[in-house]
Amino acid sequence: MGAALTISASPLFGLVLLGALFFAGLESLEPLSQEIDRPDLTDGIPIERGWIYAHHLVASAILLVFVGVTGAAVAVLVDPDIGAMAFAVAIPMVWAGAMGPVVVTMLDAPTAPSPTTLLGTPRDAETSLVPPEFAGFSTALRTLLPVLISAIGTVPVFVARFADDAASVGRSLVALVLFTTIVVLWVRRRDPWGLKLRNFFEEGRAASA
Amino acid sequence: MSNSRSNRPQSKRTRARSATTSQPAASSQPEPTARAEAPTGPPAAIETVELAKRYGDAPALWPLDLRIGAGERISLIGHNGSGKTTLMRMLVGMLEPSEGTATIAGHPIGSIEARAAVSYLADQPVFYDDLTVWEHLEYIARLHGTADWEQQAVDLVDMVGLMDRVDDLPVTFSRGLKQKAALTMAFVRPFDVMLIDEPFVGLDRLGKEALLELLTLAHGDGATLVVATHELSSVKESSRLIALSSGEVVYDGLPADADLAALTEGARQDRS
Repeated sequence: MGAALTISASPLFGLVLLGALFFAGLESLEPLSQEIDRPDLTDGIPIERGWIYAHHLVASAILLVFVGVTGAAVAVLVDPDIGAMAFAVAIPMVWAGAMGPVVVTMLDAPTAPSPTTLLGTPRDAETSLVPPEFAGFSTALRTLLPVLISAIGTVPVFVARFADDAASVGRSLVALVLFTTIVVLWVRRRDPWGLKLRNFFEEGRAASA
Repeated sequence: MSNSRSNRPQSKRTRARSATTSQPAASSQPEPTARAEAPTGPPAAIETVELAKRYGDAPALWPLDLRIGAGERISLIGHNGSGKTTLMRMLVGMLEPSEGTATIAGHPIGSIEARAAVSYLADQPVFYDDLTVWEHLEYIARLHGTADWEQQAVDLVDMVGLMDRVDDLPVTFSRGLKQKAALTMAFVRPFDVMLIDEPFVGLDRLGKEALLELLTLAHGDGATLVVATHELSSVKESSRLIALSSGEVVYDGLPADADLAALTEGARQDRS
């Protein structure tokens, strides 16, 4: 409904749409949240954490398909003129909208593994890469980042309103799919990427010492 | 009943493990004599080298050299804060050692291979909020690739007396029932080494009997068992007793030779 009103009535309804996307995504990610909250259980399983986390997204994605289709059906009721576009946009939009909650959930996951254990060192024991004077900015960014990421999910709706041609909407959908793929890949490969980054900085410190 | 894998010393998995562990050892020794002196048998179930843990400046476990052979049944005793849980959590890769190294079945602690070999039952059972007992068992068994998990799960829940509660959420259980549910989760997956921290806490007579029977079956199948406990009556079942006090090993030997009362009394004195 938010999408239909954004296209046909006012762009301000995009805020309603954004909120709906964010909270639908957050609710659908409960299994991932529970997994992250129980690292003892996860690390007892002889499988990379990223693989388990990424597979929790499958159930969320399926649930969000139903949310997206329902949303498209409601949007068509509000504005029958957007019928085909609503169904084309709905699923990539809800998936991309859920990437904000994915990021905020993953930020609570254990940090990248150390060479000796998979759990890694506690977050508060890490050497911060951010200077103290930028800590406030870092906190604000951490709070806003998930919402900004979810906002990317609304892009096709605004493209539909202002560009109003199928090709532009199609390109925005391709971009959404690519964006979603990158976030899912990050969930899957977060540990090895984090380990590489940590090693890179440690090597840098060792070289400069 | 037991899902131990340790009774398959000649399996492809074990042979592959022996090969992979022996190659780096040989290549890292430049002297032929050193290679000849290297152990030729299978890797120890658990081996630690100078393994230590400090919390800030406070030592929780002093540097520890320990070798536990495959198939041993160990009781680990010590007062609260003696380092039992710290040692176990480091061995299962859930706690970062401050110093030293350790291996499980020849693999570095925390590695995928080590995690596949070790089953850990924590002193505080942890469950997913929205999964029933049966769903927990299915989830864990499937992620470990256990093919015949259903019969295994039925036998386990029946043995601990949870058959009527398999469709309930374990987060709503009492402490004793949670412990029973956690027991079934620890035993439903394959393992070569089992580390159990205070398993008797909260268990009723039936639960204790079931646990002892499960441990005996697993040991009979060749699994290596390490049970940290204050239940001294269970110590006689073990083949080796290790006592910790203030992060140090104060006894390592046969349970029959140990003066348990003196050890626990000494531990208490150390604590005070």
